[in-house]
Amino acid sequence: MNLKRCLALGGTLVAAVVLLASCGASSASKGPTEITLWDFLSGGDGVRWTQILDKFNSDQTALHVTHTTLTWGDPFYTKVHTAVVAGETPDVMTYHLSHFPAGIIAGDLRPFTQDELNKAGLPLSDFNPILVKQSLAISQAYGIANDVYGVPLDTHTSVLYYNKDLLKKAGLLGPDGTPQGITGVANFTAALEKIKRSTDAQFAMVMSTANDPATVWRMWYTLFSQQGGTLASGGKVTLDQVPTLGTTALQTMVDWTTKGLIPANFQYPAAVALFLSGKAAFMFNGNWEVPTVVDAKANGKLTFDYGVAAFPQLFDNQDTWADSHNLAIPANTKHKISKKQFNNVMTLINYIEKHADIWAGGGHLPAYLPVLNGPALASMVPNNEYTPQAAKDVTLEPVSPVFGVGDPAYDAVGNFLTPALTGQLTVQDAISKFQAQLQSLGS
Amino acid sequence: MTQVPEQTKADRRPSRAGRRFSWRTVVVLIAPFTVVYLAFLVYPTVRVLMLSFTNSDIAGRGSFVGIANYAHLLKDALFWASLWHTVYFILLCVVPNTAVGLIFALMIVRLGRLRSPVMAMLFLPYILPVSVVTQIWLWVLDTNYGIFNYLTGTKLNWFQDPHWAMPAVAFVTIWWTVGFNILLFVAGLQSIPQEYYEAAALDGASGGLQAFRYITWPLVWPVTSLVLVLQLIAQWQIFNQVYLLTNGGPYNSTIVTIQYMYIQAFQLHHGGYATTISMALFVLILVSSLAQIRLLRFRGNP
Amino acid sequence: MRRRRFSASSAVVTAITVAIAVVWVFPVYWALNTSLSVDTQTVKIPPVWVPSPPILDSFKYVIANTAIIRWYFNSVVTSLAIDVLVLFLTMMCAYALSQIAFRGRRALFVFFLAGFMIPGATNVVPLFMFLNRLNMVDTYLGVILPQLVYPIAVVVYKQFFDQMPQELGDAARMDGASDFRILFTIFLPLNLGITWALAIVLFLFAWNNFFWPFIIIASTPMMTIPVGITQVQSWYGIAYPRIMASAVLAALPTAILYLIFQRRVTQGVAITAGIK
Repeated sequence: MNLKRCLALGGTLVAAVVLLASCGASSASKGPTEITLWDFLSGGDGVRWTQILDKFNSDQTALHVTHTTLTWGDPFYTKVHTAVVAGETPDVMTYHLSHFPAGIIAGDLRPFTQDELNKAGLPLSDFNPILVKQSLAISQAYGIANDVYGVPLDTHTSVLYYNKDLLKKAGLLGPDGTPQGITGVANFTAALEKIKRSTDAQFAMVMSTANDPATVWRMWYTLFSQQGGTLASGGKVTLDQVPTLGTTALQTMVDWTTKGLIPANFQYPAAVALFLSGKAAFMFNGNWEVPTVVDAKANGKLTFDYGVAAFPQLFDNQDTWADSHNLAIPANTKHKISKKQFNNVMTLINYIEKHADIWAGGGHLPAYLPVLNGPALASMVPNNEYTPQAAKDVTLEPVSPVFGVGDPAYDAVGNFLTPALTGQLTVQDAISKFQAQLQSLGS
Repeated sequence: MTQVPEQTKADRRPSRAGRRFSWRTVVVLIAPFTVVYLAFLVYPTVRVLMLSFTNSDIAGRGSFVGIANYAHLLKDALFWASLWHTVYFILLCVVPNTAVGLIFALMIVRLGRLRSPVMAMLFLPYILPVSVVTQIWLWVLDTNYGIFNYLTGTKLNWFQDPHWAMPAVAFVTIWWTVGFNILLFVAGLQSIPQEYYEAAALDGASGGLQAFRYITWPLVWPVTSLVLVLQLIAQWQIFNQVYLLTNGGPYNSTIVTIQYMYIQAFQLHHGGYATTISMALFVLILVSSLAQIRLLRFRGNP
Repeated sequence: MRRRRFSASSAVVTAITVAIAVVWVFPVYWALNTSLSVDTQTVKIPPVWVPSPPILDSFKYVIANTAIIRWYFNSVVTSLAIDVLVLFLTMMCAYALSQIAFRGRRALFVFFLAGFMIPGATNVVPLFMFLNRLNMVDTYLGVILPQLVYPIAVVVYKQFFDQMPQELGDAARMDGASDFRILFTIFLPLNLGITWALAIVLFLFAWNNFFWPFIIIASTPMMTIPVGITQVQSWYGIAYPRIMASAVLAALPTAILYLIFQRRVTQGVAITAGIK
């Protein structure tokens, strides 16, 4: 009998909970209008992001934004499409510029007309022209020309973190406290060798390589672009420079791994942890790890002085891989966003853009020019050490659904470029297979 | 599964068979489960077949394309690769898992007071969610700071090495699920009457090996075949561990069939083609488990 | 029970068995150890065997920065619902199959048995489409409904009900009791043991299920624990102690359930596997 009562109780409980939960989701309370936002921002990014949204919620009472975080890359964009199909989308979401082509083709993105942007006080002329140009080119090739499929929030790029103590020991620290003698690929490699010889660093430079095609891609694409290479033009994948410039880029990376200067097989968290524990002189990583080192320094976990520099010029120019976070509206297939809610979302986006200096605390370069060129950024440490250079030399991902976050080119990198680093494929083999896979994807 | 519960004698008792009942009662009692069964098991199974002849997207919108999906499937190298990886995983997993389970069970039944805690320790992994299991092993088998590589002095990158990734996934699976097999084997071993062993000892059957061969092995065979069949059906459907440990890498060398179906359906939005993959796997599972049941039955009745 | 002879060889076997068991659970200890460490400690060689001092920072971080509390709630709601509903549905169905001699019951039973041959994973695409048409993607019902199909529980209950003495139901029927009354006031109390075992195991399976919730849930706040914890494992600035802390938190409820109800869990697992 005891169990019977238990079961009855359990049944009622479950029914009540299910009912409550489903009501809670649908019933609009009388307070502010709710805006739901999905993002893929965690770690240091997540902290700043939450800070902006909390500030938005406390600065005014008409709107309230609730955000939820999904893992960056595959789960995020897979779930966005699921949500679009199921009609369960958020009102607004973060979205990579590099994923726009794939997103437009999948029908996941609701375009913004320039008229809508002007009305919201966010004319395209207020944004980093490099990003605007790319965004319009993508629309031209895959969507509605002159519309954009997201409002740019930032540029994020790869930078070089350095340990001043180790560099000083190796004689590579200039009088101004920045690395010296690392321009040009021969010098850079020599510098890494010097660090390995003259310090107790476990690796001269760490970067994430294991199970992380993204970072390998960023390094390879940077070295490829610095020689003037391009992978797509006019919405078409062009691979004729891959066997030449691409081979040089990969060979450079393989030289570093075979000499033990950088790890061939290292997990992302391990790379960060190793740099933080003072066992690597350089770390190649995105600017989004800036808050990690800033915080570690602030709470005394860092036993050395650090700095952050734009990635050096190793070949003909200083082009460096970059991408851009945008704010986009999902194209819900069951219920279109209402005019009113659209305006609410634009109010939110406007607010976020104007408070992008908080976002810059995550190491990012704001896309909104009034903030990028404003006083807050000029005095922000360590951002001001790399922002001016990095802002000039960004090389965005090729305009094609093949390239970009969560897109098939990452598989090709993981399938063929990573194995070259670990010695499982020769550089020639790796490049020709890499090219073949891109070819079949791009056709 | 192998043992369809026998119809009990009670069924044939006249009083029960003859008693009056109202169809309303019967319907109310059986309808809820039957509806759920029809809606969420039978209907999707039928739909898999129907959808496999369409070019549906993931919302189910699409049109009839005949056997185009099947024609494409035959030429799809990645599908065949995924099928081979699944079979490879089954080879690495099913028999070793059963053997390890039996060996551990044989060791456990010899224990006295320690039996319960030892059993608990070996069974513990089985009650963990798969994502906990994979996160633990990603860390334990980490190339650089994993405790395993430190203790053994190896530098292998288990989940990133094309030769080791699938064996590592199989090993993690065995670690996770062997407790289940041990449990079944311990139950089976306990049901063997002790007298058999004593009689064998009197007959001069020397040593444990002979007793194992002539008593334990044949008597525990029904459990062994059950364990084998259950595992085969489960391991054909491998997805979670691969998705969470290697995500199909390195270089697609561990991509498995259900994962390929998932990628086609939810990442590439090819719902129709994904069900074609399902259909192929469904037929393979059905045929192989029926074949296995026949084979094991035959061997099990000496 | 086997008679134990105290000999050197059996002592060796005992020692080996215990050693294997200790090695077997070591990864679980290691996860616990890491979750209580500082992240710079996790890249130390030689490794730190016991965290000194153990710190809860990673747990605090995971609780504060992920939706893990919400995921717990979701898991509790969906697992409990599945558990209770499956028990009711299968119990009722098994009672009818066992105790009422209606036409076609044998065919129906075989029809349910055939369900064992259908591999669940190959059905997810049409299931997703079906639930999408019902507007149940990303909802509790979407998680729950497909997990209610448990023909094995029908078989188990039917086996147990078949063994009930005939007189039991007859006597009650004489007194005018309905079949529902007989089921819930006579059969159920007499089969409490098996019901508990089933309840605990079904709860465990529902709690641990990864694949289906992973498919049907799109948004973070609706995720169950096993799916949710894979979401904190982002590339951006996450460290081993936090990953392990989330794993430990996710494992805690089922581990505790197991430690308390060890006998019931093993009984339930054995029964649903097809042997008693």
